[in-house]
Amino acid sequence: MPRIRILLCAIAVALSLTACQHYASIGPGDYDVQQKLAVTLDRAWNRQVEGAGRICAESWTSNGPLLDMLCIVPGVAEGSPVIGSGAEAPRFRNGMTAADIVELVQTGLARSMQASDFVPISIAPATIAGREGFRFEFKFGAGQSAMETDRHALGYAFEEEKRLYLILFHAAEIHYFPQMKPIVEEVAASARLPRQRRT
Amino acid sequence: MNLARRGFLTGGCAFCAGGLLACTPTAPDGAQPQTGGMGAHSDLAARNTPGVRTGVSADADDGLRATMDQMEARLRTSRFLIREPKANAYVRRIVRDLAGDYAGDIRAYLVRVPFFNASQAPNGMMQIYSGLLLRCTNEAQMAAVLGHEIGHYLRAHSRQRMQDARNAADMAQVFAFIFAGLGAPQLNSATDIILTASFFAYGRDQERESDEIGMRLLSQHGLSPIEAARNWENLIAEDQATGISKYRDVLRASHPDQSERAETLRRRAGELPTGVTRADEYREGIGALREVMFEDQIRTGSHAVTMLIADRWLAADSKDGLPLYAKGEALRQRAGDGDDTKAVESLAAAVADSRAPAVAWRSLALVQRKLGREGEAREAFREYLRLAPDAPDREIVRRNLQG
Repeated sequence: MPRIRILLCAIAVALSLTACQHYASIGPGDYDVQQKLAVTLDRAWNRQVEGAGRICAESWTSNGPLLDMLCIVPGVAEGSPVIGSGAEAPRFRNGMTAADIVELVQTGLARSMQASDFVPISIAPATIAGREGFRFEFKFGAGQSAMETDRHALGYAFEEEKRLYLILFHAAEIHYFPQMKPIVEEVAASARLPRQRRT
Repeated sequence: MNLARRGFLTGGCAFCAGGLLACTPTAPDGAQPQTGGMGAHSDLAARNTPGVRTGVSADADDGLRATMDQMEARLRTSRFLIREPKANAYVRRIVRDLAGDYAGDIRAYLVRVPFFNASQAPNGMMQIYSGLLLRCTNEAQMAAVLGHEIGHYLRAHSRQRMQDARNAADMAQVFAFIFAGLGAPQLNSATDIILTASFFAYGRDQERESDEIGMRLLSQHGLSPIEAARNWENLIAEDQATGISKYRDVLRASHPDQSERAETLRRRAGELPTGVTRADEYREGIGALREVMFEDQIRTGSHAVTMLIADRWLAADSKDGLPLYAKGEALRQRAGDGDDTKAVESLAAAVADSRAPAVAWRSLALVQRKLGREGEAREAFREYLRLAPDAPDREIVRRNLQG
């Protein structure tokens, strides 16, 4: 009997938590990220509408967040958290360098999804949304025990009018990152500020 | 030293009731566990028998042990397991020495997690977090924690806790399954925390028993028992620096209050021989891990804590480039009033020492540039590229130099 009660309790809690996790389908087509950054999608994504699991302003997934996650931070101001939330969440400061922003992203991942063992691959200048920014890649580990996965991250960032714009994709290193990488690169290439027209 | 320690362990077993008594001969020196100022521990006898993995309830233990063995098998292949041979050999030797007759029963694993913790599972699996290793600055401090964990094993604290928590473990597996199906990794991690907390959240009396055993093992090993109190005083300082009590969380809610614990340990240390700290041996033993541990600590974003830890290392060697870099980088990232100037001082001192990583030059360059010292910044950027020609951010740095 106690086992049955525990199981019922677990299912009840799980069901109550599922209610906190809302996803809505977006794309294909043009999509305005909070009217601050526009992208063009050539496929449908699952956009997390709200819930405790969201670690950035916009959180999308194609195969499920355990396997891949695309975070879009559309223009955060000085003093605002970039990845994660709470009093100790790392915050954007004006004047941060590319290396600082990558470290800020890694700190956010470390705090919000127990990521660790970051292995830098590259940080290089890049043009995003017509602005001078940078592209970066690194690997890391996340999760615990049976859910531990090797992950690979690809990101793009630029500053405009003292606001940070970030597109960050991370996925399981095996299969999902290589599968999704060209798709994410297309999304990043399509990024534009709302007043810009897509060329 | 070994004899004395063995005397404590086997002498402790002499207190065991029934069949256990028969398999633990009294040590030649006849040492008996003594209770000190830690409260009424009239009997700190080991409840496990060296080399024997059976428990009080065979049916329950089989299932629990299988669960722990499964966790240990996962840990062995985890990317978070630290495999650096020298540090592993060093820490395992300390565990082996402290555990005496139980050395073959306890398997120590170094795990790359930047927080202060260690745990002892009833199947003998001991996990030691890298954050603990970074926070200790001598062998006595580390041994105090290891001795405490060995105390949990000897007294079979976790076996009783696991039997109590078995239903909770089953429930956590249900959670894990459901949440994995929902695709919510952060919830799965939460179930891991619940599961771990169920396993390792001991009662206060159990903690006090283990503290006492840890103190005795320290003392019998010739190590300074006062360092056990210093561990807790250091954690209190971290809490005060951040304003957040990290060590009164779900995993440690049952532990005695930190201040009470530090005070009790300090009082107890006064009753024991002074001992030695073995700081040089510790620095040598875990030296290969220090850089990555400091990098992980910086990445936690807890700048005040990073500075406290760095200062602790600098107290022993004020020219040590690694903690100087960590302190300077924490100051640079915090960027509060006056931090940039202090960061330059710390980073300039760091790069003068060969133990500082190449990235210290980049940090110095960034803060010099921020302060408008463009010439010095360029020099530092160039030195960074010279020392780290394959740095992942080399293109950005070269562009900085051109600009």
